[in-house]
Amino acid sequence: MERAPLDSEVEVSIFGPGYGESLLLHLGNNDWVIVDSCIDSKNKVPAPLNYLHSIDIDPASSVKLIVATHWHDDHIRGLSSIVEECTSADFAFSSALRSEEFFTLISLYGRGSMMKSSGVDEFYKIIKLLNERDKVVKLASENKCLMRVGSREIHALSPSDYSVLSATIQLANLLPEVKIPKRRVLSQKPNHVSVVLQVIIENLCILLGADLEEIGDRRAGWTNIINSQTRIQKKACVFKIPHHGSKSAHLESIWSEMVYPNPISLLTPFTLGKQLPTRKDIRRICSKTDRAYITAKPQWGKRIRRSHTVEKTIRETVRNIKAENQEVGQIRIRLDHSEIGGEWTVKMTDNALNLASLNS
Amino acid sequence: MKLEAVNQSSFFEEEKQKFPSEKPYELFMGSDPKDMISEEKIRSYLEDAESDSDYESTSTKQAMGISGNFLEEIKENPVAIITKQPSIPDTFISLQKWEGTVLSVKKDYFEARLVDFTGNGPDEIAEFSINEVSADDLELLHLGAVFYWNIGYHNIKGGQRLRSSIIRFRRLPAWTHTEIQRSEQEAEELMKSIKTE
Repeated sequence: MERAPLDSEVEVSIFGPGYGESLLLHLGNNDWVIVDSCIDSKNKVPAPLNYLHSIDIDPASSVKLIVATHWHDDHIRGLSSIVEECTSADFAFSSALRSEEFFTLISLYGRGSMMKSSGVDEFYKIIKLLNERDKVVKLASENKCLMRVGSREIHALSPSDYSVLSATIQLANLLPEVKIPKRRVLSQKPNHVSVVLQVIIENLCILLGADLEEIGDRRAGWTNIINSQTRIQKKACVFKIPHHGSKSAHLESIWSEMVYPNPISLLTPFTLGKQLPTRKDIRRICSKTDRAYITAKPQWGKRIRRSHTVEKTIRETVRNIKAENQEVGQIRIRLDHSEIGGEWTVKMTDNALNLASLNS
Repeated sequence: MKLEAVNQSSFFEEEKQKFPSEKPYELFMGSDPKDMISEEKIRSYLEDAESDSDYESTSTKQAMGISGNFLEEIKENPVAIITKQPSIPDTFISLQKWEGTVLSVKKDYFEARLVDFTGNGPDEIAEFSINEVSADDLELLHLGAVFYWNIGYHNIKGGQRLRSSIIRFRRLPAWTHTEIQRSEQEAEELMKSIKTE
């Protein structure tokens, strides 16, 4: 069995199959934070819970904060199970989702069994659980502190006020009208809701980019964060690359103003519809750092074996069919904070890899 | 061959009294009035028989339980009682079933996410030609629409087996005023009950 980190060790784990993303942080002294959730296909348990159990950490007492960066399916699958198990944890979600529009949406779709697999029913379960627990919920918004324990702090850097307003309009457009047939809710673009986090542990800074994209408006997206006069002006040595490394989430000034040169960079792939990161994205990221790691190859899952008859009919019917990559990869980095000049150690599961190995 | 010859039979007059029907001239298969073959159907069968040299071997004939020398018999004797053959009802043997959600709709194809309903396989993304959707279901093809995709064998009456791919969109009920109003109320309650800093 793997050993749990020491009290003096900071640890960041990123989990990701072909579709999904979750982060687990050890801030030290057995204080853990979970950001988003993805499911391990082997036992259908959220990947961060699997890992905590494997190193003999009790999530109920050790997880202090759970953050839902947004409501999209690839970031929220299994999050209600995490909330259920981590009974002492605070829960934080985007302030852009505390609107009548979003709550009506989750109420409409969360109750119907036909709506399974969309992020809204997961959110509905979470809100119900939190209500039963009578816990205070933290709303994440631009430059708001979500957690402070001694010299360890977690700040939200988004959404901005403008993004909250944009998200409300976007969510209102998702609300169904009377006499319109029922259909599933699909995630909308751009993502105005996403919560970027800045984790500060004494002199260390970690930047978690969630799925925030750049929309070319100074009131929102990455430009708003870069230009913010009130955010803590600290450069990060670890960077969770936003939105699966896509071009839409790239801004040159993030690399020059918010992270140190050659930062440890972590990302997950996305293989639903299109594949991210693309070759160009990989090349761009690798030009910024040679310490970028990805939880799995940005490619489809293994071909599913089916009977000849079924295969033949599939080929005759569809133009294209691809299976999701469900094997969860994990990249874990650790640093002993008590050691002067200590270096991060990187450990990966078999399917995770250094991004540079794909840059050929 | 004239069908009227059949209809003039006294047999039918007697049967009519036993099983009064709005359609006066029908041929029985067995004794159950539900098994009646309409006059129109009989006429089409007989007309087909005259024009189709392969009639003796067609599966349609088998499906109707018509014996091999039926045509000869009917010429000699205008009254025919056809013994009902035990027929296999239409059945569908599913080999693979998915539930799909429409993710995008393009000019001539649509993309959907498929959840395996047969095994425990991973979700899949597939592109279907719009032509795969029946004319009746086309109006249902929208973002977020839910459908079933079934691959299997279709056993039809007469023993024929067809390999089939069936895409059927779910005709889900429309949102009602009550549902929306109830959710708005619940949303308001949830908003009030959530304690924020």
